[in-house]
Amino acid sequence: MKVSPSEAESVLASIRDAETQMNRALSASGGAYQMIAWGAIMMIGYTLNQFADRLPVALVAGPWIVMSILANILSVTIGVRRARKFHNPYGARLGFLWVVFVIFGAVGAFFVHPAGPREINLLAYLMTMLWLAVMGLWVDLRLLWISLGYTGLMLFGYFVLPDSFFLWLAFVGGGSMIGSGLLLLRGRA
Amino acid sequence: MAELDEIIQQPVRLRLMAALVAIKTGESAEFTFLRDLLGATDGNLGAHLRRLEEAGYIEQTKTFVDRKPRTYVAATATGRKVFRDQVAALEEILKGAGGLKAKR
Repeated sequence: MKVSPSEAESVLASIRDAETQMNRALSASGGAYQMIAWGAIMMIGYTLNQFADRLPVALVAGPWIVMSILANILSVTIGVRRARKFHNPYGARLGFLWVVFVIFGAVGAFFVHPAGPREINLLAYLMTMLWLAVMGLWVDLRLLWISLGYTGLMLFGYFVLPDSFFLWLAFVGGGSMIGSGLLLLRGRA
Repeated sequence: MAELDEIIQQPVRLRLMAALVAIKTGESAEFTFLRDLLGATDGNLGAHLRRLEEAGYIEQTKTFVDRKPRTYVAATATGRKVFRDQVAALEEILKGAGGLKAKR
């Protein structure tokens, strides 16, 4: 089969166009917006945590509760809409796995009694990263490296910057989450 | 010189494969979503899917969601490889043309 260079060029442009359209559809229906939403929640929530001793409890806990409920609704909506267009054989299992991790994390914290708010939040973060690592081993190895990288950053903040740990969680944890979401959107646009 | 695959070279099938390869291995895309993405009709897309399935480049899974039949389509490992080879072959043709121009 013979194809001229000009034909090859137009075919390659058509391929790139199809890939771009698909990537836009994936971004619009995928995890990029979830990452940005959760990153923003971390940023606001942990910044409030940092100054918790100077703020009323309701002002620290209230935004966390409201934002978490909204972000969970957003996550479920995005997940359901995505499932109509794309099917992942492990999708439901990964969702249940997340629930299992939350339950085990909560039960573990109840029995082990983490020393304080920093430890409780680090444990929650580590459980989330463990879930991401398992997802990485299961569906996409890149998630494993992201999980290990974020875990390393959080442990660094915990040990090296104990007094500013919540700000570290807010801006490095939340910021990198927002950055990853934006990169995902940009890379696919 | 790299060989071009005639089955995949057809414009709609090539765009279809490009779209399917863009999603993660193991994931599949829904039929009507693909139809809208490619601007094809049901019959047209169905025929191209059958051709690609016969060649072993894609897999179709039929299922029910809310009692409605749905078809999900995924590129097979063979399909992904053939598509990548096709893109490489097309790029080689372009590079060859560039090389000729440079020599002149």
